[in-house]
Amino acid sequence: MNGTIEQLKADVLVVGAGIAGLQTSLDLADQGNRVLLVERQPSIGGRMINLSKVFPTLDCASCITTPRMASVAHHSSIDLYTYTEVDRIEREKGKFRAYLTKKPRYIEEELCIGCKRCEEACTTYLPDEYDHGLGGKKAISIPFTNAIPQYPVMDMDNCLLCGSCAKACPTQCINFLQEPKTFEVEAGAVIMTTGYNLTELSAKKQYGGTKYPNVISPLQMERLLAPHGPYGGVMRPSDGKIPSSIAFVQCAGSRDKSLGVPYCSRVCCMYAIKQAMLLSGSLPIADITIYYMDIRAFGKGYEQFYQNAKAMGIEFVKAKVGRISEDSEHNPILRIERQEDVAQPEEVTHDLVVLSLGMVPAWVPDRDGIIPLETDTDGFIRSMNEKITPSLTSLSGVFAAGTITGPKDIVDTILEAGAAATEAANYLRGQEVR
Amino acid sequence: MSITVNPDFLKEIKRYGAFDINACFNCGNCTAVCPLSDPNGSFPRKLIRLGQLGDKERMISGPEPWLCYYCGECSETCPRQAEPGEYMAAVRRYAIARNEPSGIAGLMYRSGTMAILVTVLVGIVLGAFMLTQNIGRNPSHWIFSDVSYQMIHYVGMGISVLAVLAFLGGVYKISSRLSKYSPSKTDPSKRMVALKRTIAEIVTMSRHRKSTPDSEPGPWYRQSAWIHMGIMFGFLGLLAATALDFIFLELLPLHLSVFWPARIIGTIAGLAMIWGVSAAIVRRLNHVEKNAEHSRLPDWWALIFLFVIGLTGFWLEIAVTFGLNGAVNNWFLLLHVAMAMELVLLFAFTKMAHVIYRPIALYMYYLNQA
Repeated sequence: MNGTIEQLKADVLVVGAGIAGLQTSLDLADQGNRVLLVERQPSIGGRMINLSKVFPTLDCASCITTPRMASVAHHSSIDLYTYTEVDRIEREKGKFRAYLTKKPRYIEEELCIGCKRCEEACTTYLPDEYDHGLGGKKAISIPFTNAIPQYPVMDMDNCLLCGSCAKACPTQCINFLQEPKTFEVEAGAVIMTTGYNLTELSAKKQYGGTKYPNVISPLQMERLLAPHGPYGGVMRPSDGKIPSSIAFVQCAGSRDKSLGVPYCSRVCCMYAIKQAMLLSGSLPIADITIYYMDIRAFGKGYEQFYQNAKAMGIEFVKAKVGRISEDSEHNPILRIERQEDVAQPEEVTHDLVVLSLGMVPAWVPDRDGIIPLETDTDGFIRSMNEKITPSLTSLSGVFAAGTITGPKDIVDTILEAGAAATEAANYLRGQEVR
Repeated sequence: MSITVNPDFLKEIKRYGAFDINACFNCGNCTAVCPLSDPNGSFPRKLIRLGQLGDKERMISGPEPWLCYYCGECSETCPRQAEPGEYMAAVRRYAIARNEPSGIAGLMYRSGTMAILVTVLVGIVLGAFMLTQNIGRNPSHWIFSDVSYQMIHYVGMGISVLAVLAFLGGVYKISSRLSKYSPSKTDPSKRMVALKRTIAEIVTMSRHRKSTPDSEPGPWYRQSAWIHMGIMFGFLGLLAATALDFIFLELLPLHLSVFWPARIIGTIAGLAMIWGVSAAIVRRLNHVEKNAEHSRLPDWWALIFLFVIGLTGFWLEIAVTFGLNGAVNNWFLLLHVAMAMELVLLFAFTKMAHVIYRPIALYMYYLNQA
């Protein structure tokens, strides 16, 4: 940081470049508004680019997300700031002033040509967060194949400072001494699209926390199912065995007051059914069981999707899983009581178990600061007029879209992103007239 | 066997505490998460289902209500917050009420005011009776100047006879209920196995310990199974000491010395009980367990009684040993004796009734398993 802080200007500041942020930015920019899109991860695309396929059409998630990512990156009216945190946003006289900090990637971005030589030369292997710990990455690496922008990021905490990458780099862009960089943005409106986190895999002690290697999160299963996933196929983490019996535990992170998540996360039934369908495609002889309390197939075509899954031979067992343990071969054992037939507890062993975890807000104003928006009791951002203008927040000029306001699927998220763009554009015109 | 569905029965059960059970949608989490539930004794959902159907006879005619120790894990993880653990407690209260014919237990469980009223009334009647009857009023010791030793002796014998009758009545009631839904013919060797396991369970409390959540904080002397053991063995020890005292009174007039064996047993047992009861009260006040959230007055009843009896007992022991003559000590004796007698007299109408039902239920459970 040397002296002057760079000043930026935009009509709308969009925080979070997941599918909601991408969509709302494109909608606004296409109308001629200047958009500044901030993403704290090194690549845009959010959770969606991490998925294998989407329900109920079984379209490839990348095929839908990547074109939008590319459009945003190349749009003349969108300024993209990746690997950048929003420290705080202040409201002054109907305008907003945001303070950003760009984290160092330890490369000079204007010199980098994305050739991956540094990644090849690097000698340190780390768990890959993009594959949720299932795969490996180098200490300096481009986050994933279709990441945008294609800049590598150095993990300074784990870098050995051996200099191999710097020697390999053809443009001398490695800079071990890079510092964070701060910006100030003046914007007419703000759209928050910070999305969700899954409830922690370790949250429920009855499910063993993270003690059992073959009890995985649904996002890990997405990676196992993705064509470019960590193992190149569906294998279980403990021993690489191809599982012949896979179970999904529904409501593993939702509708459970003991986890502080009493609400239904809406999408878990559908993503579990989708994953079960994809599994029966990639492992045709595997037994797939879904343990559920009730199936909530809420959207257009979803009920049919559920019926199709049943017709495909996926077993739906109406029983809430109470406990999980494992045997000496790391096969997870589920303790259940079936609702049909005899009322008694029983134990069922599977090769691989997916906990259908729920959604919690990724950004909580009271906890994380930035801008003091009101939240509902569930922690999601309060929508001031849910029925008529769902993207309105408690602060005039600040809008919200996607899972920031509550659990929802991709279809609803994209709809809301469009609605937020329209509301923000209306707000800007209103300010001009005044 | 056909039954008529009676959805109104849940309203009846709710008067005993299971206020949220309507929320249950039968997911089975409670049974699956329960550390004690198994195919032989499946609960809580089976009992909830029976309650929802209104099959009250079958609900209280199995060993299941008494196999639960209310660790609260089902209530903590219930997705509907239907409090299945509290429902199990309500079923036990209901079973106690149904297993005694007078209706007093039901009255005390359904209304806190009635519980206090009955307790105070019985206490006053007992105390007044002992104070006013003029039997053997030539005190062998200063402490018996208001209530004579003979008086305590005779009333105690009467109360014991009544308690034994209530005990036998309870045994008969639950045995006939349990046998209705159990295999009629079992060979004697299986009965022996079941009996041995029941006794082993009572002594070791292994099921109670198994139900203790892993997260239970603190050393053993603050854990519920050990606390229960302290209270139980303390109580049994005091019972034994009292009986010995009764038996040897005529033979040896030395019974007031603290070094008399029966008194030594009593002192040790009393200490164990005081520790257990105090620890249990602290746990209940601090809401260590889920079950403490919904404590009802009759749940406190036994604890308060045992606590007061234990404290006054030790006070009297000190007073007698050091000759602390004084009117207040005589009143303590009256309080001590009246409460002890009331505890024994009313045990079949309160939470204490589990000393009849739990062992018999355990025996039936082990018999089915054998």
